[in-house]
Amino acid sequence: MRKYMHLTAMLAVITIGIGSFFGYAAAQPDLRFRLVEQQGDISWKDRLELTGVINDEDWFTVRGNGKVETSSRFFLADQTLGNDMYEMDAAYPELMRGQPYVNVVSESEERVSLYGLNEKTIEVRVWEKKKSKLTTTVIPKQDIAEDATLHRLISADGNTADLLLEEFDYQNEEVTSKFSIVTVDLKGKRMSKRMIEEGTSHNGDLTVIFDQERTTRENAIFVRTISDGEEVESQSHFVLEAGKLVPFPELDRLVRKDSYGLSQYGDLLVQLPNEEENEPRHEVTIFDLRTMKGKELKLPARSTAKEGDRMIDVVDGKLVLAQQKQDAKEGIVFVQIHDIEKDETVFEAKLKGNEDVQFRLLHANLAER
Amino acid sequence: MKKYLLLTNEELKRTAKPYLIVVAVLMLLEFILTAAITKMHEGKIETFMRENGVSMQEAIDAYGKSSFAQVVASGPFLLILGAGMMVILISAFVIWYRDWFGKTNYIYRLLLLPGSRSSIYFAKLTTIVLLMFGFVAIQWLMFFVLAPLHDLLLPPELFERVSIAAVLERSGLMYLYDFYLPNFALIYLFALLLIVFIFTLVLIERSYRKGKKVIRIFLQFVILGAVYGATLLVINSDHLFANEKGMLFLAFTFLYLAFLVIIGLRTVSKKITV
Amino acid sequence: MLEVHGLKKRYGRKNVLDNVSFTVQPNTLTCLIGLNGAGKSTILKGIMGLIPLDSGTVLIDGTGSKDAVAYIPDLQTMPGHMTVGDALDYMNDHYADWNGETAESLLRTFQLMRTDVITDLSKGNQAKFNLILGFALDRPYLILDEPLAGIDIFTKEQIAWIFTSEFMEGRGILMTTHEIDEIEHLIDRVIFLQDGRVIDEHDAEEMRELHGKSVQDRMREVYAR
Repeated sequence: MRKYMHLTAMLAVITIGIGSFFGYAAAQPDLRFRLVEQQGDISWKDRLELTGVINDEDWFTVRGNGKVETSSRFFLADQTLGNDMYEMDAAYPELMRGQPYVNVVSESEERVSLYGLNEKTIEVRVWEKKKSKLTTTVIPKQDIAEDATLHRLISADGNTADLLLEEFDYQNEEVTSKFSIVTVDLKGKRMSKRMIEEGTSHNGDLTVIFDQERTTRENAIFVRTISDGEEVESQSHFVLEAGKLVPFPELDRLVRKDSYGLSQYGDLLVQLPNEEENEPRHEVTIFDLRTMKGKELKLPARSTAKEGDRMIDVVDGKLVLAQQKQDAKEGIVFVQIHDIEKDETVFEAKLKGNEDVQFRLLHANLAER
Repeated sequence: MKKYLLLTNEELKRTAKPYLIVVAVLMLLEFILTAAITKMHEGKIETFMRENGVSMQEAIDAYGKSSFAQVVASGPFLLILGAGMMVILISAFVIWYRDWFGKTNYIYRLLLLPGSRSSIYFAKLTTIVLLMFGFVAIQWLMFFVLAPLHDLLLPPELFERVSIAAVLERSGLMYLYDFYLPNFALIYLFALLLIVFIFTLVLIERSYRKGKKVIRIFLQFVILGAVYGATLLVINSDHLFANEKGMLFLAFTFLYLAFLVIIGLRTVSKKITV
Repeated sequence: MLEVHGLKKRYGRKNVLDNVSFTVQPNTLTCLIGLNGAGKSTILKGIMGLIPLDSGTVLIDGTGSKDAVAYIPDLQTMPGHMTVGDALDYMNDHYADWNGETAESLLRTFQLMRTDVITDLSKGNQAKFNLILGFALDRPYLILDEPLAGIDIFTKEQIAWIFTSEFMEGRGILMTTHEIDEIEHLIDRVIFLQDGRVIDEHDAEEMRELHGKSVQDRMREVYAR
C-alpha cells in the first residue's frame, strides 16, 4: 500500500529497534546463586530461605537451591512488602492505616493491639481477629514529651495496659534517657505515669536492649553502658520488675563488654563477637530468657575476608549465619545453620552469585516445604 | 479509521526529511563524540606516561581503563540525548503551527475533510509519538554500533568491555531504557502526557482570542498544579499504604490524560478557527 | 437550497457578522458583495465550519451536513511539498464523491501537469488548481472565496470560462469577489454586505432589465451612502 508507506516504514524501524531492546532485556540472566560447596545434612538445603536486600535495592529471596526471587521492581509498587516491618501493614491494613509514627504493636492469637503516641493523645487500636473488628480508643496525653519513644508493651489485661516509655533529659550537656511506665486506662480513658526506680548508680547510658515483641518474657531488659567516650568500660544489665530496675547478673557475666550489644530473637538474646581477622571461629553468645541460662556457640569461620558482613537470624532454635566475602568478583555468601541446643553446625554452604552483588540478610526461614 | 491512517501517513511524510536530517546529525555527533572521548582518554594515558616516566600499567592504575559506559555517561553525550528530547517537544508545537504559518494553509484542508475531526488530532499525536519512539529505537541500535567503535579505537590493555546493560546502569540511562516493562510504560506514559499537554495549549492558543486565550492557558496550568498538588497529598498521606498510593497516582495520571485529550478533541471539533 | 440564517460573530466588541441571513438556490450564481472587512470571507468560512459562529444556522438541502458543499479558498491548502498529482490522489483518497475524470479534464484544459509542484506554480495556475479541487467534487453547492483576486487577465478569462462550462450544470454557487466585470453577466443574485450586515439583496436580472442598472452601478449606489 503505497499510501501508507511512511507509516509502515516508521513502524518497522520502531519494531526492530524496540523489539530488539525487549529481546535484549529478556535475555538478561536472572540473578542466581549457585551452590558451589556444601557440608552437613543436605536436607536443609531445600528448607533454607534467605530474605534480604541486594545492592541496597531489590528485596529478594534466595532459596537453598540457588534460585533467587526478586520483589516487583515497578516504580509504583511497594518494594518493602516482604520486609518484616511491613508484614503487619499487609496483614492488618485496617489496624495499621494511618498509625501514629511512635507506636508499639502486640499480637496474640485473638487480637492485635497497637499503642501509639499522637501529638496530644495516646491512641489504642485493637483488632479482633475472629470478628474482624477494629476498636479505637483515644486518651488525652499528659506529661509526655514530644520526642518520647514507646518501647514495648509490658502487660495488658483488656482494660489497662502498661507501656515502657523513654523520654530525654536535655538539662545537662549530655542527653540522658529517662524511663517510665505509662499506664493506660481504656475504660476510663485516662493515663498515668510513674518513673522507673533505678538502682544506686546513675552514671552512664541507659538503653533498652530490645523493643520488639515476640518474647514470652514480659519485662524489658536494660543495659547501662559506662564508657569514657570512646571505649566501653563496663556494662551492667537490669530487668524491669514491678516498676523497678533490678540487677541481672547472669547477663553481666555472659556478655563481653568490648563487643556489640545484644540482639533479641524471640526468647533468645544473641551477641556476635567483634570482627576478627582470620580467626578460625565465630564465638556467638546466646542467652535464653526462658531458662535464664547462657552459653557460647562456636561456629567455624569460613570466610577469609578481612572484613565480612556477618548477618544472623535465629529461627526455630537454629542460628543462621550468612557472611559475605567482600573482595570477590561474584557475590559469594557463606551460609551456616547451627543448632543452638546441640551447639553443632548442621549445614554449611557456599553460594556464588552470577553477578557482583552486595548482600544483606534480613531474615531466614527454615520451614518445612 | 482510514482517514486517521491516511492523515498519519501524510504527517509522517511531511516530517520525513527534517526528521532524517536530525537523526543523521545526532548520529554523526555521537560517532564523533565517541571517537573524541576515546582518543582523549588514550591521550591522557600517554601524556601521563610521558610526563611521569611510568609504564602503561601504572598510568592505567592512575586513570583507569576507558569504557563505553564513560562515553555515554559524559556530559556531551547526554546533551545530545537531551537535544533529541527537545526536538520531539518542539515538534509537538510545530506539527500544528506549520499548518497555519507554513508555505500553505493545510489547516483549511484538514478542517474541510469529511469525517470526524478527531482523526486530525490523533494523527498528529500518533506522529509525534512515533517520532519519539523512532529516536528511542535508533538510539538503542546506535549503542551496538558505538560500543564496538570505542573498543576498536583502543589497544586492548586500555579498555574495559562492558555490556550495554551495564552501560545503561552506569550512565543513568536505565530509566529511559528500563528492562522492566511496567516501568518502561510508565516513563513513556509521562512523555505522552507532556506531548498531550503541549497539544492542549497549542489548540487553545489557536482557538481563542487574546484575553480568553491567556485565561484558558493559565487555567490549564492551574489545573496542572491542582493535579500535581493532589498527587503530592496522596504521596504524603499517612492513611494510604504504598501500593494504594501507587495505584491512585496511576489513576490520577490516566484521568488527567483523558481530560487533556477530551479538551483537545473538543477544541479541534468546535472551537478551532483558521 | 443553501440556507443561512441569523449568523452572528463577534471579535471582542466588534460585530463581524450581525444577523446575516440569505439563501442560495440551486443552479444559480449568488455573489456576496461588500467592501473589504465587510465580513464576506467570514461568512463563507463560517458556513464551512472553518470559523466557529456565535449563533445562527446553516442548512444545506435541509440538513446541517456539509457534505453537499465544496469550498474553494483563495489560498493554498495542500501540504507544501505536494505535486498536483499528489493532491489529486489525496482528494481521491479522502472523498467518496471525487470525480477523477472531471479532474483530469480540467487539468488538460488548464494546462497543468501532475508533476507540477504546487507551491512552484504561478499565482494564476495556483488559482486554477484550486478550482479543480473544488469542481472535481460532485457536489451540488460550490463556495468560492475571491477566485479571481490578483490574477492576470488571461487567466481570469480561463477561470471565468469555467462558470459557463458543463461543470456548472446543476450547481448552486456562492462566491465573493471584487472583480465584478468578468462575471457580471453570469451573476444571478447579488447580496450587498456592509459592516457585517446584509443591507441589500437583488435579483441581478431584475436589476438590469427593470432598472437598467448593472451590478457595478448598484454597488456605487449602495456604498455611496
